[in-house]
Amino acid sequence: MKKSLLTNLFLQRKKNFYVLMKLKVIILLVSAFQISVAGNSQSTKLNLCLNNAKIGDVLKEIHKQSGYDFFYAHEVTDSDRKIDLNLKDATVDDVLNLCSKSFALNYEIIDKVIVIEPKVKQITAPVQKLTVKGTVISSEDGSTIPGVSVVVKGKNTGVVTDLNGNYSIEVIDANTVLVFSCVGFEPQEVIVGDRTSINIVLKQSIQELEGVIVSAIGTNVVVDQTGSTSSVVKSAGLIKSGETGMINALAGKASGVRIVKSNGDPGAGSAIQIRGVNTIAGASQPLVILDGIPISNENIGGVTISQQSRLDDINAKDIESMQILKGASAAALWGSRAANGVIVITTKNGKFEKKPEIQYTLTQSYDFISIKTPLQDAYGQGQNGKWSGTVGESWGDKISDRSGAEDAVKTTGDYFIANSGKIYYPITTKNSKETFLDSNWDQVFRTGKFTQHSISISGGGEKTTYYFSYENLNQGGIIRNYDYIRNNLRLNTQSKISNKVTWENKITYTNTRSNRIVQAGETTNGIMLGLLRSAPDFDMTDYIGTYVSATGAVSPDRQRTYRSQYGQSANAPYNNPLWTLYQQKAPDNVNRFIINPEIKADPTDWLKLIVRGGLDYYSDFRGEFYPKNSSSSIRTNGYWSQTDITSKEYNIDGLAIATKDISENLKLTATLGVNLNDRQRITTYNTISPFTVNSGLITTSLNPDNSSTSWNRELYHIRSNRGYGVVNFGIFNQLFVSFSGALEAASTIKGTFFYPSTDVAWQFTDLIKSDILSFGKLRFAWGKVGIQPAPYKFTTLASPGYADFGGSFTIDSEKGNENLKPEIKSEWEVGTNLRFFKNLLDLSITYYKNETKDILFAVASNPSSGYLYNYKNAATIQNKGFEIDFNAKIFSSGDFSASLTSNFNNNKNLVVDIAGADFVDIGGSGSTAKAIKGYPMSSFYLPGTQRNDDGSFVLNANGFPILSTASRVLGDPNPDWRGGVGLDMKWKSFDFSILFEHSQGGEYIDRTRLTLYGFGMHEDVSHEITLTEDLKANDGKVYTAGTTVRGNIVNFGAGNVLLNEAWYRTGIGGGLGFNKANDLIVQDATWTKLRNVTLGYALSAKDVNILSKLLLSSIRFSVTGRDLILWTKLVGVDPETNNYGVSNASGMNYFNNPATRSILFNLQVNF
Amino acid sequence: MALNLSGCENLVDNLNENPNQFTIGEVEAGNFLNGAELSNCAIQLGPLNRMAGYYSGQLIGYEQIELERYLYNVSNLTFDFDGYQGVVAPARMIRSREGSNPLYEGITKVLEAQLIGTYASLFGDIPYSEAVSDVKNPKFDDQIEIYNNLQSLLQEAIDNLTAATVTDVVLEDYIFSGNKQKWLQSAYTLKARYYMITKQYTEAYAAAQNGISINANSMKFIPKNVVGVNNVKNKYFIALSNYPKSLGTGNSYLIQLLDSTSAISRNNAKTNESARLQYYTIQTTATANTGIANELEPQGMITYQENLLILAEAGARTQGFNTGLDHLNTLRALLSTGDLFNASVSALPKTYDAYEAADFDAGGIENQDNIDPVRALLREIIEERYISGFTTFMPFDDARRLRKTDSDIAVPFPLNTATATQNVERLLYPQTELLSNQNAPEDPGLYAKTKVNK
Repeated sequence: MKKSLLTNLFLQRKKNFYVLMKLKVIILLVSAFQISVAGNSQSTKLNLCLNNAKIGDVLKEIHKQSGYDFFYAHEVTDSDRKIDLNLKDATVDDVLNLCSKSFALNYEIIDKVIVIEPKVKQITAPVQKLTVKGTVISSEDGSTIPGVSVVVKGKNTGVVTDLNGNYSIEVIDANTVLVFSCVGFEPQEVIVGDRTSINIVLKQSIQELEGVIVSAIGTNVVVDQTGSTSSVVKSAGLIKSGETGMINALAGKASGVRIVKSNGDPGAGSAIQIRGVNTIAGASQPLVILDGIPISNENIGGVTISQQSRLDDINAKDIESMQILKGASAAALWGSRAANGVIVITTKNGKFEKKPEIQYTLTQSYDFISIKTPLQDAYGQGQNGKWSGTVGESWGDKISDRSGAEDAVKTTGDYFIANSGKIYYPITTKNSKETFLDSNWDQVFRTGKFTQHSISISGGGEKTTYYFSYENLNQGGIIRNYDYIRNNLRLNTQSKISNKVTWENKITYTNTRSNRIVQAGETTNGIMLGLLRSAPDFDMTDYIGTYVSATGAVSPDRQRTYRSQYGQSANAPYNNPLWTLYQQKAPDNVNRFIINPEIKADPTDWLKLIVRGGLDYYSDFRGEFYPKNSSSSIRTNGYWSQTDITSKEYNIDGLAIATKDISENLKLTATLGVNLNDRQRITTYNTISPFTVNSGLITTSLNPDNSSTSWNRELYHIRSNRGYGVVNFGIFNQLFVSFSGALEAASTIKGTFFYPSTDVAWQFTDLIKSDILSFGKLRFAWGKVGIQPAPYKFTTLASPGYADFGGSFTIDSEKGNENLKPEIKSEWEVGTNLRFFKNLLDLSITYYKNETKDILFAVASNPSSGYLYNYKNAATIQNKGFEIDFNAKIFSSGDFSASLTSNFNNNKNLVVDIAGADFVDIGGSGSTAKAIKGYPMSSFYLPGTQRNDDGSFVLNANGFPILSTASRVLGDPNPDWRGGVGLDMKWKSFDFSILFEHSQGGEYIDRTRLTLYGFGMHEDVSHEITLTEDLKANDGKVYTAGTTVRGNIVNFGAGNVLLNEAWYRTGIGGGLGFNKANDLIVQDATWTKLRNVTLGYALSAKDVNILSKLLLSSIRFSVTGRDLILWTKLVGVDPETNNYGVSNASGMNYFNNPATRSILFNLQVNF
Repeated sequence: MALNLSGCENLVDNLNENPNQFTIGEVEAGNFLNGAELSNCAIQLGPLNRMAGYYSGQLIGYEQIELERYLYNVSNLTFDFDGYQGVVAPARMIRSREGSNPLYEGITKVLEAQLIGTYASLFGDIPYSEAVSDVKNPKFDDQIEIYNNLQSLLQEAIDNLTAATVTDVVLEDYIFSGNKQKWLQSAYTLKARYYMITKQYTEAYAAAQNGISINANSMKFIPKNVVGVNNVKNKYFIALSNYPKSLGTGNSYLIQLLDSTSAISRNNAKTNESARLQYYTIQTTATANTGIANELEPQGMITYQENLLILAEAGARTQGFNTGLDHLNTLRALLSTGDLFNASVSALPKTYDAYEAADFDAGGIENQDNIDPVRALLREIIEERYISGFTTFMPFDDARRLRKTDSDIAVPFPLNTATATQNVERLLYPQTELLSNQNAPEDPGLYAKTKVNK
């Protein structure tokens, strides 16, 4: 059973023991023996009958009887003293007490090891003050560590290492023990002895590396002792990703966590899904807890403008760590708000006894469009092969067949004078061969850029610490004139009011200003419809000017669009995109404060009290301004809407945590808490339309008539309070069991609800010792969490309507319901964490299964019931899957190290039941995405081609598919599995990391492509073919062999047919609306992304003298590429872009904004 | 922990009273009437109306969604049953709360009958007897039974309206401003319309006797004149404003009938349709419309012309040739006044001289093909119904009604595509109803005749 000490050390969990052992090694400098295993110092009874025994003999006997290991130096057993022992039923302590007196030994029982050392002899040398000097370096990279506190143990005197990690301290004698400590490192104690120079290598704290997580209620938990799962991302990882929004930085890094940015717009929100979709009406967004209090993570508003994620208000550089609590058990303490998981964010604090440290970071980013929709420029605007300057489609003449002369125009009637001075007359014959696809595109898009400055100062004295930061982000999006400016201030302080009371305050302020551009999706006022549908032979440059009619009537500020080429139409079917960019406005201004004070008290060594408050307040003033002559019937007369949101959430927690060792083998922690949470929001909607004055000035004077103004206000108030408790048991230091429960009452539910959870962790490697398996834990967790009903759903309401008709009331289409319960999600998970080869490999496997019952939503009821919707507890959704995280330190030697990280998740989602309904719209009415009984969430449910039972097409007389009038499931966007693989390498001062993310399976429906087929704009419909056989088109027309036609040849089952305008434009093969052959455009959405690649170079003052002369302690340069490469079978679209914004609905392209790839340059300087 | 929570519920009580909206009971019932009426207008004159036009040779869909509908590419997703919520539910709620006022009773019954009758005609069997009640899955009633029930409901409405006295006041009535007489006449014409649909011509003739008696009593949606506000305008104008160039009359069969230069022109020695042709033309650009789709042009839903033409057709069928002819001539006289058009065509000729019996005799101007004179008269009446009924459901209803036994005198409008082989007989049940109502039947498709037309 004898093993080397070092091997054994790795089997021990107790970190303090680890440190202690290290210390012993240093002090004794001995070769050590150990004898093995098991028992309890109080319960094990010893019977000893030894005469004239040496200490060694005694220890051997104790070991024999009790199984305890001993750890001692040879000098201990060198003693010639002897002892007689004659004891019955003695405890180990009894025996050792006797020995310690006889042999002048001290002993200490740590777990199952007894450490024996000689009582320190008094050094008799004369007392003389000594000066000890030295340098403290990090075991991680050998860099010097400034700010390490060096304290004389037992005294209140100490110093701090300087910029170069040097210290100098006066000590009284050689017995002095120096304690070196610094946050992030294991503290170390050293006896001075006769040395005057002591260099110290501090080991990075294991807790810091992987040991401790923050629980949902803001307390620390040792990860190896918990039965639930979470993923942790440290600040460095967040910053390396180069995302301006912190949440996107998590993409690809944790199993079971899906983060999808809706598009490449500045500040655009991201959908976060943890272990799949759990609800129908909401967006399955997790609860975000910042420094112990919940904060708003809302994306309020429609999808035609990218709504900002309020999560992006947090400066990523302020974040110390962020972790995702995935399972219900970890989240249960948040009751009805935690069903979608919890993200716990902790911001940085200054450190006690630390000199001011200043960090400045500059990031400069360049964003490029990664994929463009492929468009055609072979055929001109028109229909049936003829040019027309007013139709929407480009099924016109072949451009290369034109004469190439100037267009013939009619100069005798009406015309358009552009603001540039150029005059446009109606074209009578289109002659020009010029096309403008690229120039039109380039007038709308540009290289996006952002510059981000961030500076922070942190430090602390004996009683107080501070961390102050300021960030400025100035971003210009890939869409011209789209900007986003963010300023962010934070001050975090902690004060030790007394030895037992600490007061912490964290205050942050954020201001975001943006001019947003209306763009994606189904808005004729956006850029994408006008840009992608615009004919290739139309130059959109002169977009604004004056229309002069044939009678000489003047209409100023008209827009010129491809369907109104000389501004003849006051109502443009689609905006000229340049009008959208430069005439329309969508300013947004957000001011946000988050304040969280917290007082911690330790009245006794076993009790801790915490009182924590929190206020998250923001105002969001957003406008949408459409001057006269903007597209759409309502906006063509001028339209300004101003939406002002003020939101306030306050939260109060009181916590008591008691820790007690009931016995050596039973440790107990009990937490009791109360919480009050209150959320209020006031939204006012104001509009003015039409305008009397045609001006770009956003003012209420645009129309002095009151009847042009409308005002609407919406109040929202939810309050909940909870009492909760957690009990953790540590049994034999290897079995950890915890029970928690939260009892909650909320304003939106009648009665109280109880959310229990439990988890168990068993460190089974305590029993099995192996050189291969360094650590093993089996875990199980179960919990219940909820989702609150939306407010004000108790009764059916009278809806005001028909405002323009003088106003009337209608019975709301949604039936009220008094008997609402929260949605309850029950989840269990079982898993293991294994570490191999001295922790070089780290594997975590979890299987989870959750079911959310009583899902609340407005069930589409049969209209004949008199209501279109019925708000009720109605559906059941299930998610299950494996999560695997595997990390490996592949290589570490000298200057070079490499490590691998990877994760995998195969979430399977299923809508088990929808009471009384077969489907529910989840992306808004008329969307592609539905929740359908028996299918995964967000399945595409649309009409398609009619099929026979064997899947073959039902064909019409001409051999073409026909439309099925009933909708059916055509696919679903949920991937079969997702995973990420990353590699981190270091060589000398260089570091390199790379991260790939893969999503396998699932489907994508590219409705942009289908629509552009109808418009004759997609590259796919620009092929020219010479027929080798007679072919029929959809309209029955026969095209004879030898003719050259525009189209594609396909065989639907009755021989080859010609797909041409009759299929794409007037048939079901393309165009607007849902009554199309939608099944033909559903594709496999499998993709792989090179999510991130970073190369960095760091210099520290110890390597380069010039830095210390410049008062710099270190400097780092890095360059990062984000989303550089995308591999997918889809053409012209990034399968991650989503028409539905932050929503449970996904996998659909309808004129989505293009995705981006970015290159970032980063400079970080530490003073 | 239980101790902790004793005050738990108190803290959150009474916060869920809606601060933004009233409950139904907090608003006087009458305040819902305009909403019900305007919802009804939107349904009677909205997409269903345009589709009825596409499927009876009157209108043409040119672009995108309207083109798709025109080419019969519709699915269950295309349709809705919003009228149950928008019209029937408030009508019944008002009735249950304003029971002491027979004027409310009568008006809301007419509204309900109008909506349900339209749906029954377009879709066939629909939920009615159990609809808008506590029954979760209302059964689909037999179409013929529904019309029987609607006749009873309309009779009740007539009784209520008749009983209303001057003290029974309804202030919130967008359609007729509480005018009892106008509602009464509409109720009768609606009765007559439904008898026509069920081919009960005697009853139709009888009901129409009390139907709308003058043009001014027609039930019309009257757009509001608010500058720059589109959603209060003529519904065709709105459709074209929202989707410019999406639809129009083009050279539809209707237009060809009116156009003196076309091969099938109905202009003759006694008839000059120039004014009506101009008035009926729907331009693809919303603002270019001066006639029937002008932004402020009223849109008929139950009209004097319809009543006259019911009298004419049912009269000719049941009372004899002369009765039919007289009523037709009454309409022709009205047409020639121009009152049924607007000022934009005041300068154009509108000649509608009275027909004589001889005109329908073999060889007469309305009987060039020498058929039975009564059939010839009926053919002309039906063609007039086809023309006069433009932008109402009458032409589509007639086309389906006459296809079985009267195809010889029906208006022979063509199909919209070369590949189509059948005429549309009904619209498709809305997907929302099919999927949520467990009693919904399988959809019989666009080409299945509804019971009244079998």
